[in-house]
Amino acid sequence: MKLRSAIFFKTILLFMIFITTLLLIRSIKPNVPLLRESFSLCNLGNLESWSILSETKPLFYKSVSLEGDRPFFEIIYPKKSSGSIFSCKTLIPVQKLYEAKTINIELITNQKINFKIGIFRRGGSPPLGKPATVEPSFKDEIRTITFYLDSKEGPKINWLTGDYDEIRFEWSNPNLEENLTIQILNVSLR
Amino acid sequence: MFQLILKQIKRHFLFLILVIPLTFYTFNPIVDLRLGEWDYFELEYQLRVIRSSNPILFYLTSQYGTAYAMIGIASYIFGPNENAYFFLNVGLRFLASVSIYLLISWWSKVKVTGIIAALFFLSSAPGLENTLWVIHFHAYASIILFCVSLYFWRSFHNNPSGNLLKESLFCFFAALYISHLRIYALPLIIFAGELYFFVIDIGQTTAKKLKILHFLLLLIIIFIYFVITSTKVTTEVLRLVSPQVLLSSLVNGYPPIIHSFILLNSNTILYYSNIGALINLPLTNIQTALSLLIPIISIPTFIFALIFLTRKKFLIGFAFLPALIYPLTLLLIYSTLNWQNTAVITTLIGGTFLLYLIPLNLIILKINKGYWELFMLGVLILTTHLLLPWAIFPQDENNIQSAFYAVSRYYTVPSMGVGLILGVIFLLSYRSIKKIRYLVLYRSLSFKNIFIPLFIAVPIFIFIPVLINYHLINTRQIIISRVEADDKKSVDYLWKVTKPFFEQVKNKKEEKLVYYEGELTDKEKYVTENILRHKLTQIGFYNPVQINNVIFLNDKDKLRSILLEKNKIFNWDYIFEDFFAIQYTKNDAFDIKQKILEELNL
Repeated sequence: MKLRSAIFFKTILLFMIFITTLLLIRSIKPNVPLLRESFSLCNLGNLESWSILSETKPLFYKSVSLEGDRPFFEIIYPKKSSGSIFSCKTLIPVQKLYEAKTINIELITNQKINFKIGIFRRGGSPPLGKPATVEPSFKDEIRTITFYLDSKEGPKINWLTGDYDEIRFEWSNPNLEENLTIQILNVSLR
Repeated sequence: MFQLILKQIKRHFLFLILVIPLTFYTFNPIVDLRLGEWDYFELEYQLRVIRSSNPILFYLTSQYGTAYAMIGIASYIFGPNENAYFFLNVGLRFLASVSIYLLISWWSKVKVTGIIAALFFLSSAPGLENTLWVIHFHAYASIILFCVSLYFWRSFHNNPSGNLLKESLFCFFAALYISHLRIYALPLIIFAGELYFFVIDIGQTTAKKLKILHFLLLLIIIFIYFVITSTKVTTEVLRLVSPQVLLSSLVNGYPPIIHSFILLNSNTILYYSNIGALINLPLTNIQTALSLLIPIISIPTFIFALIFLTRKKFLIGFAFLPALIYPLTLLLIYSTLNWQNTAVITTLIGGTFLLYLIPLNLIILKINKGYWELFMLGVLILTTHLLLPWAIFPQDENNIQSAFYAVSRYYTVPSMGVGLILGVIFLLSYRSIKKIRYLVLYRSLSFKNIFIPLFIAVPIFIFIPVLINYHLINTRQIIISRVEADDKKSVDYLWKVTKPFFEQVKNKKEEKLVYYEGELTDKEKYVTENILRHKLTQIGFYNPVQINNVIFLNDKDKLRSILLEKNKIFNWDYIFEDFFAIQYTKNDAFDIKQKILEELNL
């Protein structure tokens, strides 16, 4: 019996040593996960998943989904609004977030705005960097904004707690001279 | 009675002479006794609970109930006396170290082991921060209960009897229920211990039924504990890292989370949050530090491994492998350790210490089974108390217990585990050095006195950096940062300029209404509305349970509605004596009562 327990103990220890060594060596040459295809977020063609969160209300907002065409979400704010937040409910699987490097948004706007995006899990959000300045689009030129998921200040591993459920879009511009139109054409992880 | 105390002092003289000065030394040279913003918040909250209709029910059913009860009772007794909380905390810190000393001295039958464990616990930086954040004194109460519970549990296994069974079960339940907040891993440790005794008791017939009964009752208590704690969890559920991602990260090696685990444990050896200062002192940058430290650490490890391999102790020799390759892996991936590269020295020294525990485990098992038990207890206390809350408990903030942010209160109990490990190593090293034959050094390196090189290595790798870090840098930095903390500054400034308004007031028991204006930050507004009334109790206003008799506000509509509601508008005595209006500027405060009354059209 004594001999058996000694062998059992030694086997466990050998296994532990082996695993620890393996994990340490693995960290030298990591298998960096990659998202092979971009993962689309937000159902642009479904108006029910969208909502307005701030007190500044838009003139109207709509989802356009025409056959054979790319669906998009359009929101129009009255002039002299200084900023607002709107959101879409969407499932962001934690495994996709783990693999992704950036979150990208393609949009068209008719005025210069500061634009920020946040991903939320039950109302809690990780830091995703500073707001980006978006120039107005001429001839419906599409602007792409990229936010990096991993940063030294808020390392991604710190907030990968589970699936996320919401994306919030925040814009600001204190000097709106005419109605602001924002068209969101694509939101994706890459 | 006096003679009994004298006898006890004589008996534990060495411990007392070392520990009492250390208890107070850590707070030298600047002792800051003032309470912080959060301390006031907690005290006020608990006073409200204690005055509520059913405080007992709240304390029994809320997640932090028993800890809150301790704060509530303390605030009821001490009121606004800032020094009292501080000395309560220091007193409990001292008692916690006494209980660690008594437990470990009794268990190991050697006082020096207990003394080292208690000294390490006392001098650890996380423990120090816990003491300066006075409201956390319940962490020390947890440690005392933890030690008492372990004492009775071990006593039962030494000498199983009906009485000890009852005591062991009662203390276990009491420790879990009263202070589960800081000693989360007690059930796990006890369970591992029971499993161990089950294995070594196979074939023995003495008190077999009693032991099985003890084990089953412990299981029932653990079950009740889980039911109680799971019903108490009321906060939003956000785990720190999802198990799926955790596993993927470990398997992929990206991000290098294995190093984060190591850092988590390393913080108990060298506290990460203040490590920057240590690097800046003797060395210019982290890379230089790494290139100097890695050979110093790796060469002795290599020699140890070689000694055992040449003596055909292959398993022990092989067990040095993780400790040997660890510094090299750290050097290779240093640049990718983004978030923790300021803590890389902590990770190196603490991590090597942690990985040395694998071969040490085998060596100590061969030398003395009793010490091996104690050693393993230390390892379990260290690792489980950090990994369990980090990986399992639901949190309402993403980063609060992360390896990347050393949160002091989680390191208080684990530092006891490190103390225990160091105590065992020191004792065995000391015994082996006694056997040294100076002239035939190599020959004397028999299996049992392999601790000779360890005896030299341990002070170099662990004690010296720990002492430098804790007592020369961390202590000063932590205390200075506490003194200079913004909340304390704003409390001081606002109280200094507000105090003159209230000094001449005759009727200090009546309700007071204070309207204030000025360019204050959110924090200063918080201080004005919540903390100044505590300060008023220091100049004779109210007693601690009446602090809500004074209201600070800066909303004119609310002011008007309160005045109307209380029908005080035409009560000129009230307006002149119990109503105040203050305008705060950057350096001073002015009376604006007349202006406000005119604006309100009164």
